[in-house]
Amino acid sequence: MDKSFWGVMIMPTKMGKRLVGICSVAVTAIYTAGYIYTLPSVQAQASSVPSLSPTSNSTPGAAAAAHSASRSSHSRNGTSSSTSAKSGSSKSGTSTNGSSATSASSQSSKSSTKSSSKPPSKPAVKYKDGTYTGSGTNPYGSLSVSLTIAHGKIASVKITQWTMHYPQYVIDPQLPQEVVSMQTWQIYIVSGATASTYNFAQAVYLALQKAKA
Amino acid sequence: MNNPQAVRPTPNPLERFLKTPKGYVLAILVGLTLIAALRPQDHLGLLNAIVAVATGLVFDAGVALLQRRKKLFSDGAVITALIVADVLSHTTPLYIVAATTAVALLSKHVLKVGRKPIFNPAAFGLLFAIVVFATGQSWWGSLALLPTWLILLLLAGGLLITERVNKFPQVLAFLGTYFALLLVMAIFHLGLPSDTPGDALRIPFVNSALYLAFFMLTDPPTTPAPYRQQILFGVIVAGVGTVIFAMSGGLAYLLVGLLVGNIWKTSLHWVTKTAERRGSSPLKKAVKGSANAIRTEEGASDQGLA
Repeated sequence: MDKSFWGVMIMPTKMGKRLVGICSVAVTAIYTAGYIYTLPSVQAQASSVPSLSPTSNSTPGAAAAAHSASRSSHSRNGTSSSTSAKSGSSKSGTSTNGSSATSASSQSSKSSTKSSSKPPSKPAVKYKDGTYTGSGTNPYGSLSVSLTIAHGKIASVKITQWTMHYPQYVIDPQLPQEVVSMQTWQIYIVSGATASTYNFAQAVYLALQKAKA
Repeated sequence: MNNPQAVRPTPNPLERFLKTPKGYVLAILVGLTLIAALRPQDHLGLLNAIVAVATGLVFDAGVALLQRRKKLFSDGAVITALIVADVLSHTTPLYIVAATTAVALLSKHVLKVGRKPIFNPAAFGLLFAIVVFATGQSWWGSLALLPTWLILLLLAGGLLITERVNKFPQVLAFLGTYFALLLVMAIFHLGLPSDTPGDALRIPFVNSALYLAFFMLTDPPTTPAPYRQQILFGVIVAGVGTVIFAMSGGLAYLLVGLLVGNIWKTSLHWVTKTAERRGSSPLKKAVKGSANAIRTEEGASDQGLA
């Protein structure tokens, strides 16, 4: 061994397999401790935040419901394969304009809306006029919306806060426009931005809950 | 009877390449990218990867032509391009994928001390893309969005590379410090409500840390070779990254931590060289010893993965 600058011990040979094994076990132990320690907080968070898994319908929540609702409405309109079609077209959409998957999503949602005689879900409940806020959080970040009700209808939706790990343009302005045009929080999932869609749906849902008469 | 040595088949160039550290990294990265692209939503990620690789090859070939080098094919460019494509979200526009790759490789050729780049090219390009293009990152190449058990493939591939480039102290120091600091954050309730230590310790975020540790932290030209410095490097990257995570969340913290570590490595190298050149300080002998040891180890492990 050689004592050198900064008191550095230079080891000329490779780290022994035994030492690697011991250190790996130590790292795994630290990880496991952190994982177990944070388990209660993550579980508490999971119970209050809708599941991100499209196949998991067991967790009640706005976005999960939004997901299932959008799936059923897609199926109703014969566009059940639109998710893959959307992702296929989203690339070209993204390369030409900044709104990426959302433009494709809007096309599919518009076409499905047109094919039915009336919008997928007209609000049966009355909303009080005013401006209401809601927010959605999941492991990918959080967002907040400001929703305005005028004459009992959703007049506008604005995203007021965005800390998602994906750029805002992935869903904005497409999903706010969908909420206004469809008069519901049950918007269509944007391919490639599922987590953002869920959060947005949850935020709008919570705002609408506040606006209920 | 023939001489056995005379009939022994010589390995073809591809076989020889795959046995080098670069070959290892490239093969494992290609494998991970292909597996990650099996997820229907990430099919387009493969297109991103192709565009990134094509951009990288053309860019580095252009640089080679300018420098009048004979070898136009750059395996380092392919590795950088694959890492860029694996990290960027598949919804990223293709021109941004190409631009990010070009910036990454530009940093390799421009920001350097001697022949070595200062920054990990992929990390530099990706951070640039976040700041300038506001791109999304999904780290889909880390198999983050696939079934949980596939993380074993990431671990296996990563450990193979780490062993091959002799970076176990660095990788283990990074992961150990990172996980320990996240545990401390959890115990003392530090950090943001939207980016908790619990999230960072779980899929998909833990995949990002593992991917960075195994495929970016192990880049020999931008990381130190002596073991003690490897350990310090890992601790610095994890420390800086975790502090940024606690303060601002997001996913760029890993990249920032790595780039700060790169600066530390370069400054350490510079201090050592300067002290060696002056040569009259009381530390002269120690510095010479250190410099020689660093050169020896760098010669052994520095295969130029960037």
